[in-house]
Amino acid sequence: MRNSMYFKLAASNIRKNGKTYIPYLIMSITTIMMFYIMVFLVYNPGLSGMRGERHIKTVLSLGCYITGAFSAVLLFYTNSFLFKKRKKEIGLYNILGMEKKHIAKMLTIENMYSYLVTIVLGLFFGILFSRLMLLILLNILKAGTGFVFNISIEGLCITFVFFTIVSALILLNNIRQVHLTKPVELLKGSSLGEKEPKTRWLLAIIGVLSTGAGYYIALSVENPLAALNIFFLAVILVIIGTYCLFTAGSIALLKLLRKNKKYYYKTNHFTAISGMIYRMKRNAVGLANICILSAMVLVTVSSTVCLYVGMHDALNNRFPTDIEIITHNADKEQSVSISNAVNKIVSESGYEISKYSEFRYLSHSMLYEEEKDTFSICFDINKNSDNMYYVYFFPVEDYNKKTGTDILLEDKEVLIYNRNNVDFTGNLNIQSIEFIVKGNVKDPGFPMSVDGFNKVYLFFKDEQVIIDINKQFEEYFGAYSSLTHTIAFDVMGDKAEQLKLTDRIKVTFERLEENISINTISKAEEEYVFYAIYGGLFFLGLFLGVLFMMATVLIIYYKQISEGYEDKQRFHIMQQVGMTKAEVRQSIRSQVLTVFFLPLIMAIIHIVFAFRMITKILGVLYLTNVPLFINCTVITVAAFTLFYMAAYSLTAHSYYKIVE
Amino acid sequence: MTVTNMILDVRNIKKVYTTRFGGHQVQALSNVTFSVEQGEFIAIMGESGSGKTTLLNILAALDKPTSGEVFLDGNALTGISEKEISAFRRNNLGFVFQDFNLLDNFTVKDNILLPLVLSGKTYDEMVPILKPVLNKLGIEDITEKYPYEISGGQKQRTAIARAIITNPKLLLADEPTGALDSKATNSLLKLFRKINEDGQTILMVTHSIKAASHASRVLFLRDGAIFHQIYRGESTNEELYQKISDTLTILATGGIFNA
Repeated sequence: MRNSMYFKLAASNIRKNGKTYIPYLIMSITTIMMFYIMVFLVYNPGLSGMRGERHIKTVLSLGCYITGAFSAVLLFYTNSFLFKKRKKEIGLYNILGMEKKHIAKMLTIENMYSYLVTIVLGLFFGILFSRLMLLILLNILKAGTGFVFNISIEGLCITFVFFTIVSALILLNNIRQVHLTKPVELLKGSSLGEKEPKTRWLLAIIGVLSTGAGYYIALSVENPLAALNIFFLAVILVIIGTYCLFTAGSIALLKLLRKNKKYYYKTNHFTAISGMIYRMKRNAVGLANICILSAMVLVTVSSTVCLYVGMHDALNNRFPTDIEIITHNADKEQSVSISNAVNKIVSESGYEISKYSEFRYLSHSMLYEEEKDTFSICFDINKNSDNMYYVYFFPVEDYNKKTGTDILLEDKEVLIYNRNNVDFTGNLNIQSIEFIVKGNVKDPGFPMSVDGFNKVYLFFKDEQVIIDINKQFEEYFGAYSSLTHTIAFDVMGDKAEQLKLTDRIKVTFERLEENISINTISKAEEEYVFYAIYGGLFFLGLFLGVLFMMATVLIIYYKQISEGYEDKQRFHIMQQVGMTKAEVRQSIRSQVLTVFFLPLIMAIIHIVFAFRMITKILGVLYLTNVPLFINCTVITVAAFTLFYMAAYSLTAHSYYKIVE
Repeated sequence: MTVTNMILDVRNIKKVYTTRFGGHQVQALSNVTFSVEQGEFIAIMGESGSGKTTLLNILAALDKPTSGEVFLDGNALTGISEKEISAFRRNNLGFVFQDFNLLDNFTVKDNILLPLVLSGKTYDEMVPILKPVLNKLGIEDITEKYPYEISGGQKQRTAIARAIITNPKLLLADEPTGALDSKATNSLLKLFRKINEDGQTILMVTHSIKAASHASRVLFLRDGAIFHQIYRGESTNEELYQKISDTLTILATGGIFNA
């Protein structure tokens, strides 16, 4: 065969299969574009040197990996669909006398054509839109105008190499399939016999149990730290459950309905149930994919939007004052000298400060056992997570100073404040030391971070009592369990001035070379980190949200098309047997609607069950504004549903065109 | 002639197709007139392109004639509105096709019950109707099987069962033996005879002489018009076969007939 022939054939093949090929090309171009933009952002010098650079780059690199992995999977998936549709055509070439190596050559040229088009256009649009994306990112990060725009050489290289590999793998996979199958099978290819799916009860039951277990975990978790840890367990359980439910559960349910003769032999149930059994068999995995993708979009977008919008809340929750100077392992004298040094710097610098407070305290995460009235150290964070508390040990004078009271305690007495409004009475044991509860008090308003944890303050006679208590903890933690000295205050002045003062304090303590660690934190400085992390996550959430949504649309489109070709014949027979056009259309419409909105409904149910858990996790990130999160979720779900419906009606159009 | 019950009356049917982009016109049927009486078994023969399929589509109310009228049991098909046509088709006509047209997602039983379900009958009403039909066609044993699990002959029996379960006035068959081997063809044709002897009126379009030789009357279609017809009379299948064969020879060599 002459070489030019291959090129002609390849070109005409792509043209002839336009209906399925063009969406594939568009998807390839878009994924290449998005991947380039992500790499471009990671390597962009405009992000270097800004405060929080390290954090934003971590977030963006994560985005790179996700975009890359997701693109590869998506391209493989769409290609497998394309190829399945073309099996007949390829079988025909084979029978007409093309050897398999000729077919492989033709496929290679086709692949080359489409690859060249997509990589060139993808990189072109990537370069075009990367500037816009950079501007958006900088705007989200509130990083001002100092951006540098260029074409990223690294971006071009990495994108080129990555997608060349993906494309080559896809090609190899196609060639492998041609080689493995016999021409007759290729000819049959896309219309292989339709066997009725078997009922797989075991899988169906696993689906129910797994989803149920995932939901139960999500609903029962109390401790936010535990929530972080078992979130992934719950997610994996629900993913497994979703796949099982869609593949086996749906068919089991439909077959049960079919067994009920009175229900089954009714005009609308009859065609719907038997039709759905086949549709679910063919589409179960695709639908489960759509469901999980949708749930991912919803969770990612709603929580990142919420984090970004609620960032100032979170910042104020985390840092109740402008500047904190925290020292571990300092004895009382050292604390006094640190405190003197800080006060000296402040008065010399001339900044006016307010809300000055200073504490020496001990804190530990402990388990409260109500029946024993005991707080004790517990290393198993999953155990009784409701009863895990962050326990702070203060001398009572700190309470007196803050509230202007004059309470005196005996050696064995304790005063309690807790955020959960539990009233403690009688005795209270700290590990094995017994105390008598003198009373419960209101929040003294200490400048402590507000997060999702249970908190309790215990006030004792003096520091000596606390040091004695700490001796028990030292058995577990050694020198790590020591009193913390905190100085906290607000600074009158703008952020720049706060930063200046912070830097002066930092410089002073750098010179102190002792066996203690002094950590100076300013809210202004941390704000950049917050912007870098939350802003970066927000950007990533939107970016991946768009990518996931496009994937969803593409999967829906291909589903519609393949359904269309298969339904055409049935549509025809039904009419011959005596169904009106309107009835057939109605029947198909309701089946198609069920098939396409099932994943969305399931995804929304997932979100509802995950809600509590995500709220807990956001609490760890200092975001305690639940109504805000509810709003973000509701708006995201509504927007996504609208988008999904639009995608459906667009693709439904091409479906009905095929069927009629 | 005794007074008989005329079940189908086709009068001066003409069908002209206009090609999709206008202009070019194709005449599929020029002028077809014939009638079918209650209990007849009619075979319509003709070469490819003679207008057989067009005629069948018009009789099945799947297509409308350009001019002329079709009466089924006294009702003009052309006068039935689009809305009622499906119910009319369901209640009065049965169909058997060359490629069976069974739905793969239904069992044999459900395929047969489909028309009844569409008419809104309850399951309890269906069971007593289904039994004798399965019996007649000898497919009691495969009711729970799916179309892809059974042979061509069994598929066609299933299709016939589906066609006659509504007790239609007219059974229309389009090349029913076209996809069957000779053994299955024989038993299928015997079955058609049996159903016919039980009183079912059958109209079959075919170009198999063998299939046509089982009919009680054979119509020949050429260039969109009825060209000739043969009554079985007292002939055996073999004799009728010979007659049909002779007629086709004359048709093919271009002779002119007048019955």
